[in-house]
Amino acid sequence: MIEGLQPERLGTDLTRWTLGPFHGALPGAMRLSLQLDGEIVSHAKVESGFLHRGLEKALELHRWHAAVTYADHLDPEAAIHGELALCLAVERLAGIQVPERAQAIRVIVAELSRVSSHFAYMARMARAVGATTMMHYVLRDRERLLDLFELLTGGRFSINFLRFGGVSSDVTEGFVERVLEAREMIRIRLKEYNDLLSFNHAFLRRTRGIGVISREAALRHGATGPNLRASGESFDLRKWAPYSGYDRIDFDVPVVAEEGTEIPGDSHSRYLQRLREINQCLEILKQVTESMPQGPFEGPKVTPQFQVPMGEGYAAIEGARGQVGCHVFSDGGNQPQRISFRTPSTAHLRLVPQALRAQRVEDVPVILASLDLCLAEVDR
Amino acid sequence: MEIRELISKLQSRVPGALLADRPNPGPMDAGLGLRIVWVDLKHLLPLARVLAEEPGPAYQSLDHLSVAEIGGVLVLTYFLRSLSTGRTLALRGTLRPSGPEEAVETVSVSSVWPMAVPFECENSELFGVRFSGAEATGRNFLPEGWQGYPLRKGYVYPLEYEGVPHMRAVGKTAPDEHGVLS
Amino acid sequence: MKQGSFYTSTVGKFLNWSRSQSLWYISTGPGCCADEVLESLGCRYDLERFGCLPQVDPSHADLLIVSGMVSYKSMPHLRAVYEAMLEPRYVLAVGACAACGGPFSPEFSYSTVPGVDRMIPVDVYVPGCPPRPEAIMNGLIALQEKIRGNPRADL
Repeated sequence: MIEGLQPERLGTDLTRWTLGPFHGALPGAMRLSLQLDGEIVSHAKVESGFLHRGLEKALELHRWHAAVTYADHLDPEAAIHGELALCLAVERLAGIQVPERAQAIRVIVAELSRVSSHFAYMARMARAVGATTMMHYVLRDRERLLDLFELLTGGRFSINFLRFGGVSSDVTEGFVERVLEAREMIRIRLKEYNDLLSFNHAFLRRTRGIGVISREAALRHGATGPNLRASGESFDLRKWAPYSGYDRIDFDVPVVAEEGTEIPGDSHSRYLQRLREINQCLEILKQVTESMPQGPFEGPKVTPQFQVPMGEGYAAIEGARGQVGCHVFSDGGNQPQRISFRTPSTAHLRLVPQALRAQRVEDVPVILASLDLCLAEVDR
Repeated sequence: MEIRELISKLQSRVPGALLADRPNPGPMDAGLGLRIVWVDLKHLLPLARVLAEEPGPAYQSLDHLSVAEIGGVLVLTYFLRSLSTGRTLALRGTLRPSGPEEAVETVSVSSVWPMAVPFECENSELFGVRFSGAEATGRNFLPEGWQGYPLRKGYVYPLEYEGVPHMRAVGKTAPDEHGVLS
Repeated sequence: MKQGSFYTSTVGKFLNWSRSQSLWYISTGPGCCADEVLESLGCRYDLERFGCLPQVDPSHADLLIVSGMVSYKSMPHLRAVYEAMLEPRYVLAVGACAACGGPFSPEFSYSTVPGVDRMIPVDVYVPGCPPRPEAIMNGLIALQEKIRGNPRADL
């Protein structure tokens, strides 16, 4: 928080507000109980679970071939990351080798998903501060990415694309060229976004120094992904524990907090961190599309009779919001015994009371939007 | 620090905490990609302190706490990660509930790894594992007054909830041999 | 008498026509389908040209878009949102989960309501997992036709 900009408390009578679970200012179905001192939040409490679908239990009742479809619904905005964590865990358990071409296709879709998820983040952020023009521009550009998913997989959100040991279809003719086209388009648009919103003085007033999460607090509560990097910790699983051929790609992990111009861990640095990561995704996309390996793209045929050997597997990947983990148990049959997911937003939801403390009530929607919460993956 | 070195250190610091044999048979230990250390959950808290707070192991981060029911036994797996070296380790212990409706109790590690709170909250609601010493978070997945632990294998689905029948309106209610509903 | 009834029915027609052209909505139940509802607000699909405007306060809204599943935990809250809306009010159930539970139907999921119509009356169902924005628009147009009393909506 910037010193002297706002008082920490006003000393008025305390009032209580309860928002949600269905409220336009909230990022999803959650309930936020605020204790207000005048218009300053003195205490905040979060309750989740309004979207609990019993996803992990439903997975146990299905066969292995249906598991990918359910993993899609973990985080609908970047469905591929749930699928990828599940597939990597099963592949580790069953000892399936993934062909290099399939790995390259996976990386392309994963990075496109990351850009798409970050675009949705920017749209929500713009909506939270009332910048409707920006929201419409970002959604327009996101449509281009959804078109790419549709071209490749037939779906826009629930793409159901990965298979154990590969992907369900090879890239269609002209797909790579379209990815490069979209890449060029995004590169130009990012400059536009910077002029329109990122460094707009009104946006800076609403986000700079607001909702600060220190590096220590982020680490203590298990934050990962862009939220952690915005607080100044350079931790990215694509670098630390590479999977799917990320070790063959040369890319940097941007940390805006280290650039020195930002207040580490505030709403604006979280926003800028995502902008930088879009740039990084574009770099990864360039390298992967330039050297697409030839060869097969499929693993073993996944039928309803598909069996996974007895054992367990664990995989953790860098999703769009942070670390997505998947732990699977198989008893050797055609049904999973237990699939347990670790999702990043669970930890980020725990940061909400911290981020809201001593903030003004009008900043609450902006801070919530800046944390990029996905309640579907918290509740599962 | 090598894994052998780590294990001997843990054995000397917290005697009796590590289990030499896998006490529970089942589909475990293959293809996990990281080292599993079997522990007696009674000694988990001092073990966690050594692992998290001493500079040698320095496993400051708990990535995930997964619970699975295998053959009537609850298997708890703690996935640890060191933020300074990037090494990973899994701690594993088992709990045996006395019945499908009975809760079991173990110690909470949230005083050592604060990121354990949401995992412990989830598993206490869905698996009936009570973590003593954990902060009270209330119900975060199911409505107040929900009966039973849904992720247990023997869980029976409700037939109705507050006047809403929990079943399909018409048609078949069980999938055929291809897992397809008609 | 006859003239009077003719007169009121024409007023009713006019009112229904205007209602159908200004369906201000409140969207609840954010799941996968909520993303598609957001996309259909975007400039490619632009729901606003059908007179649809997102609202935050249920008492300002005519239409409740239930996008995605409803869990037992959120059931009383959704009912409260519906009851806070003023008559005439309409409900659009978007997605397979809202229609019947979809992938989280009662034999797989213990915590989802098997269809929103078990708790509140639904006017139009939009199938899909998640449905495309075109499908959501089609559902909306069907609802408009229904409000205007056009039998096409019953198809």
